[in-house]
Amino acid sequence: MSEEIRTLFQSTFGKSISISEEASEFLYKKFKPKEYAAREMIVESGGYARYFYFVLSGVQAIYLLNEKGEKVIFGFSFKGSPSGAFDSFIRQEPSNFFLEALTPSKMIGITKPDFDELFNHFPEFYRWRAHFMEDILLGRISREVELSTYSAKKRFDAFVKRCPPELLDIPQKYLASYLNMTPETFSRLRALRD
Amino acid sequence: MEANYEKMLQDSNRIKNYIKGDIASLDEDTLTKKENEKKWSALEVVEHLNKVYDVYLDNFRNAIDAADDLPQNETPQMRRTLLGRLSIYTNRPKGKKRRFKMKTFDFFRPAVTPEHLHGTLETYLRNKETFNDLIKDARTKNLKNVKVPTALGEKVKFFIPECFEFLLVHEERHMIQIAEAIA
Repeated sequence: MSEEIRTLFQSTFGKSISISEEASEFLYKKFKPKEYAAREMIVESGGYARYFYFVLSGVQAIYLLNEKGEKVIFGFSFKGSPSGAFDSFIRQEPSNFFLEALTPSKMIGITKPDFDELFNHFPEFYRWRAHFMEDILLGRISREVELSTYSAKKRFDAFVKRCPPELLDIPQKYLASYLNMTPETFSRLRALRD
Repeated sequence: MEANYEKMLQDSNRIKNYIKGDIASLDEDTLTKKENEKKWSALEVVEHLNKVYDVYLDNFRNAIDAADDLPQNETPQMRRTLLGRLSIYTNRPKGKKRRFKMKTFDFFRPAVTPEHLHGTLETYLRNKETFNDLIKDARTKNLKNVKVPTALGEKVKFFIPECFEFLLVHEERHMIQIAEAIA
């Protein structure tokens, strides 16, 4: 097992719980390496999300299509972050979302039966799950506040402050959609900052 | 104009999930039920769609494999032919209504017997997987000027993205027909 994956498990699960030797072996065995080329669809709307992922490298976007068929970006995943189309993964129903690798991506993924088995065999992982859900909830609340109360410039500044550098290299239209602004506004704000 | 392959994939999956989830589990009597001799049963409609895929899938694969890769970060573009535009317009259902009813070509006429029941549906779902893979592969290729022959003949060609759209609206139309046949 690579040091990279060991560090990843420690920085995610290890923040909430102490990982036993047995649990560690289970994680190493069940999280399988996955690679996706740039532009490759990891999950498509109407398809099934087979895996819950952690990202080793690359950037992925999660989006859906509005009534006009335009992409509306909901979020990104990147090195060290969890990733997946959780609506489909949790319910095992067709997804409403697309998950696309925007750059060549290396990830590790666990299937739903193995994910469920993790909690059955090692109930201490429920503590990690509670923290994970709290982080997601707080992140969504904060984004909701930004989208409904911040000006375009303030949204842009807040995003630049918190986003990892690799995210600024992806096509501008994805970032603009995520920030709910036109690509032109995004471009203008970026030029002002540069 | 931009080729919206994601929309095509979403529409294609919706159709696939309808056949897989709502139709494949129906009993033989319902699947082969005909309102009258002139009308098609649900199974005949599915067999008709298989025959349509037989005409197009290999042509798509060959054309996509031969096309140049799209430079990274470049948005895929598409063009339309006049006949392609017209075919999409006339086939696209309006709500639950099939407008401009038309007769099919003889070679697309379905011939299914009850023993083909599961084979027909399985073949359709396999064709759908192949079609979805083609849409996904098309996303990374420059297909702006690439055409494929249509069922109207070797000389009548559509650009690939518009041909995808045509097949999808044609299928949407037949999903309404299936819903009517099993009602």
